[in-house]
Amino acid sequence: MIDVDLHNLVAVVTMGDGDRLASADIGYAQQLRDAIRDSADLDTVKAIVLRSADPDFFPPLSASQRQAAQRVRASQPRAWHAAFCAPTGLYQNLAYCKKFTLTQVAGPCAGPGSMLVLCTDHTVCADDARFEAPFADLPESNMVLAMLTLRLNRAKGWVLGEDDWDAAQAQAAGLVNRVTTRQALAGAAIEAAQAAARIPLDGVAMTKLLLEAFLDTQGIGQEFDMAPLYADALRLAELDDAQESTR
Amino acid sequence: MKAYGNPESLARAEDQVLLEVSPEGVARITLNRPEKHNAMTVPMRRRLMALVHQCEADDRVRVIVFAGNGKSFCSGNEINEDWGQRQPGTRRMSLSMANRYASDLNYGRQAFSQAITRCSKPTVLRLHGYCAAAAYFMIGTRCDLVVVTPSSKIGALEARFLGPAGAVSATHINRILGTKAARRYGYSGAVMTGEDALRVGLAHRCVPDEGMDAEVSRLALRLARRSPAMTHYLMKRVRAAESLFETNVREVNGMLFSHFLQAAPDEAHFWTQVKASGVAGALAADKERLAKATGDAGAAGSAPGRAHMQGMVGSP
Repeated sequence: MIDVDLHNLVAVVTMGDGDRLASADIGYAQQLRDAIRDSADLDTVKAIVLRSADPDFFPPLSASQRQAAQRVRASQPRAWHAAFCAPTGLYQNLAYCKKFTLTQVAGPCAGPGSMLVLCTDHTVCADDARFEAPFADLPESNMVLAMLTLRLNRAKGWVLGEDDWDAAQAQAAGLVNRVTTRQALAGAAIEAAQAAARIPLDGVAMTKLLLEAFLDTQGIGQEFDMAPLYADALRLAELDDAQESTR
Repeated sequence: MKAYGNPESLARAEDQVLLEVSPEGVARITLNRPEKHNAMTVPMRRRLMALVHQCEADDRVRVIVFAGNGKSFCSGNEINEDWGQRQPGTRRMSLSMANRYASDLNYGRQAFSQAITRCSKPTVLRLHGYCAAAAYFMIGTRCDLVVVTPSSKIGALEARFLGPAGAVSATHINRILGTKAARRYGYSGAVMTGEDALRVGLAHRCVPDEGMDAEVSRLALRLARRSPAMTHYLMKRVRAAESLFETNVREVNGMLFSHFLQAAPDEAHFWTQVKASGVAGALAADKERLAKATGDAGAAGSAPGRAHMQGMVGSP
């Protein structure tokens, strides 16, 4: 279930059952993509807030979710690619969205949640948020985008380092723009979205056009194009792990 | 590839760059020339590159740690070194030799800095004391995870005396520090402390001196104990993204040109001669030196343009 509320030039997209993304649910990814794309198409919307209906944004993936996602990628590779990482897919529609985008995060943020954060322009989080790197779970996750957002060594530290990041670390690293309390979170997110919505509509459009060109020169689109290869590599790594554990 | 160096530096390189592999799969490559703050001779760099390749091929190795014995990790390249860079009688390294130096020994696709950045295994740097000049360029900013202490002293410090500030324009340094910080440290040759390095994003951890070994071990063991297949997958992704992000673009600038501009001892002598006997006298002395070096007695006899130069420059 995905709800879209329009209010004062801001569309608030609320994900119920967001964990379906963790299982690579193609239908859910399409619904979320459509909600974002349709909102962005409205001249009455300048900013889009993405949040979860659950108290926590995106808990770490369970083993069964990983297996389910692996089955989808193996059995429907083209549909998976189209829904998640192709130019028609969820993440590129968000990264290259025509309007200002914002993620509102509370509690754990892993897998698809971290990818949604990387793909949005702005992130406001609660002080109890924790951010886990998505690369071991999602072959469609975009490491170049992480390197661009965090800078090179911080991104490598997030990928290879031992821990997820708390809200303060994420803010210091440049992943998060503002940290607040859980109680103040929804208000802070709307406030940030409305601040961006003060830009004239053509200003928003021009900004996003220029941003799209910038992201492409940085290799963001090429990294998305590599996702099917990464999916194959991840499948082989998981097979190796499974064989190793049965020895 | 030709093995450059002099007899002494070639003979000592094996003891000056050491390799140990622990039972857990942590390879430790240690620079061991503490009397010179581990300044790297050309043969040391070649050995370091060979050891990285050896670790790459060794399935037991899961992670590579770089470290240095003595007061510092590494002060950079040994700049007071005759490694065969100049033909007899020439004042400067030729551009052809400088190109080989940059390509094969430092920054090219086959050189040691790219051996580190293209390594399929995670790399950790134990950075204590100085990590300066080439050590900063070619190891400090190439390793995946850098552990520092507040007393670490990092940067392209050679910019103060050696000419062009290559650290300003190096792609990977701009990607790590951000453009403003890369320029600030690059132009000024300022020392970056360990705390600065953590703040600007070069370092992964900044720990007290006494906690350094424990932190490096903890990080390395954690990486070594991960599923090899998953680590391999993640490293492939990191290296692919770095490649898309153009961090392995060959850095022609700093090292090549700074070495090309370095005055060799006989060039310094030339300018001393200029003060004593004018340009013409210095040129004449230079011809004599060239004749001695090349065994060409005729070279000293005629110095084209000598009279012209005397007329132009006059007495000192």
